[in-house]
Amino acid sequence: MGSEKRFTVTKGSMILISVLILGFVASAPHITSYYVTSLMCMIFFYIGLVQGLNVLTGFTGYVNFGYAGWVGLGSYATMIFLNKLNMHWLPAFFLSGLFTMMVGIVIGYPLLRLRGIYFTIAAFTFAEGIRFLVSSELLSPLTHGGEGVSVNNPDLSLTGQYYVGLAVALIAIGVVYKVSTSRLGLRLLAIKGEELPTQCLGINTTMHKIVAFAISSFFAGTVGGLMAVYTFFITPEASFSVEITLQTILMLNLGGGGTVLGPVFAAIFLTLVAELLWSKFVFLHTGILGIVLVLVILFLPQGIVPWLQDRRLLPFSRKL
Amino acid sequence: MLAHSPSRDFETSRKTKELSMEMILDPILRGIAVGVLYALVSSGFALILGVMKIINLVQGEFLMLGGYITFYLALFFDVNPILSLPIVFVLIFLFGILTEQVIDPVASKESAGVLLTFGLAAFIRNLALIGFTANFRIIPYLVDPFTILGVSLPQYTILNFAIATFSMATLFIFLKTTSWGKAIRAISQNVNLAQVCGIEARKIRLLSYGLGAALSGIGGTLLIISRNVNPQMGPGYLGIMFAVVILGGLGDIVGACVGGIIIGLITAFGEFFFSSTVALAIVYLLVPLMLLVRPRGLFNRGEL
Repeated sequence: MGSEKRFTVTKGSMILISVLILGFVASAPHITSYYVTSLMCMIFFYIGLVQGLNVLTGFTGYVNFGYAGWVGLGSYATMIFLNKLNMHWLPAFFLSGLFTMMVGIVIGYPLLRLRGIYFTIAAFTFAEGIRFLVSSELLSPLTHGGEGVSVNNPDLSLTGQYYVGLAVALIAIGVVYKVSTSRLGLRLLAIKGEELPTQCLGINTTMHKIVAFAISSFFAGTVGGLMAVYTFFITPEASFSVEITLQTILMLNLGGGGTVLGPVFAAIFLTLVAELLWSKFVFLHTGILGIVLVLVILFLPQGIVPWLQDRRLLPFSRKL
Repeated sequence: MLAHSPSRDFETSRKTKELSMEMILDPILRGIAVGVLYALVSSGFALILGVMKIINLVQGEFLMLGGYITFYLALFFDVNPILSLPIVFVLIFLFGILTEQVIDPVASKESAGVLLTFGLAAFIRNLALIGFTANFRIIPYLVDPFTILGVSLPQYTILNFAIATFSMATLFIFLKTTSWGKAIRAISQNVNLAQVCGIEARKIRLLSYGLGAALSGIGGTLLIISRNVNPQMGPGYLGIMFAVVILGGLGDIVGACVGGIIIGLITAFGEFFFSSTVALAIVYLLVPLMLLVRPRGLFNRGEL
């Protein structure tokens, strides 16, 4: 043990690196190109999305395959707030988050008391159903049906979107940190481990799952709204795309569900990889993401951070 | 109504007519015709769900591949779609066994199994998009109309009905009478007890996964005659399978047959009164509602 030379980082260099990264992130829209800024925007959106999914799926193990449905609902809610009600962007994002949160609670209340398999099925079909409802002629006065609708830009330039995205990402990370170090997080992890014994300890697991789902839905809706402004033209096909769910679930599983930092690094890494794939192999893009998910599930089922923890490369701490 | 295309006018005039007996019979017959197809496709899904306890998200892709095998057999070797059915059955059965090898290590873990099939389905779908192109494929076969109870339907509906009923009856007899079928039912009821009785769970999982895949493959052949087949069709039909299985009760194959016909009727009536988009929205949103009021299925026999 003693003969082994450990890789150590001095405190001074740590602080220097942190300051450099923070300085870059804080000033990126002013010092880098439009392309880099929009790519970093996408990273922030995905950090928000994956941390939202983390609160439910990562901690409790209830997989939400309809996550894109909540994102799409957030996009359309924001579009309605901006286009039809001429709202300011801040309440628009916040209210669409609250709206999807309400939807999550209403849907989660009956479904989260059943086994995970039912929740998976119902979340998927609910998201698909909402997609068809949005593109149907019944709601077309509000949603303009299947051909899509452009979103009024609420005086929010790319730089503005960048900082809003950064704020949402930081809040999401903060919330997950708070959850993971709190009693709620411990109980949610207990649900993932063994649900029945958790109930036997007198914990109302359904209530805890609904709270987790509400937080999860809130972030999906807010980020969905941001994405609607970012792309400025939304269609049911793109807003409710299975690809959003696939990418988010892949990020969560690669980083490690129930950890704070794993999904963040996975989101940064995979957004960059997805961008690279998108520019190099447009046609194989989804397929590669799919096969990576298969490999991650087979060979890295816990995710990166728990894998490193098992090898003593990272300390065992729920704060990670 | 905002847009006034000629077809829209025709539809509205059709709807405003008084609802005579034939008017109601039309969606009923169409609903049953498409419902048996849904039932056939979903019985494979229900079989895999019952035995392996995983939600097999690759099922929609088996459907698609079955359709494409028929298409290419007809294109290159001029094979009649009916004659291609056994070939589709065997090929998709083998492909299912191959797929099962990938899924088996995580089959005991519910959420990992779902995630794995999710990734696998995306992969297969993407390869199909590259290999088969995004074109919608259809084989015109027996399209001449015939009249039954005053409703005119294409002849292939009879074919679909016959093949779907035959396949499901065969499956049912297989499960009820043969020793293999009994082993499948035993495994789906209680794995541990079945293994104690000397049933090899691994073999049964392979068999039932292959069978479930092949049943959906046959469904794909019927779909390319009656509707169309394209690489992105998987998730849509998967949603219908979910609805059928939840309606019939999880792991209940007879329930899946009845559920299929009910979902077929709902889509037909939804299309008759509104549009196909609204019909699908109704079907999908029915699932959470169904789980709310009757989570164990229509017959209350599904497992919780």
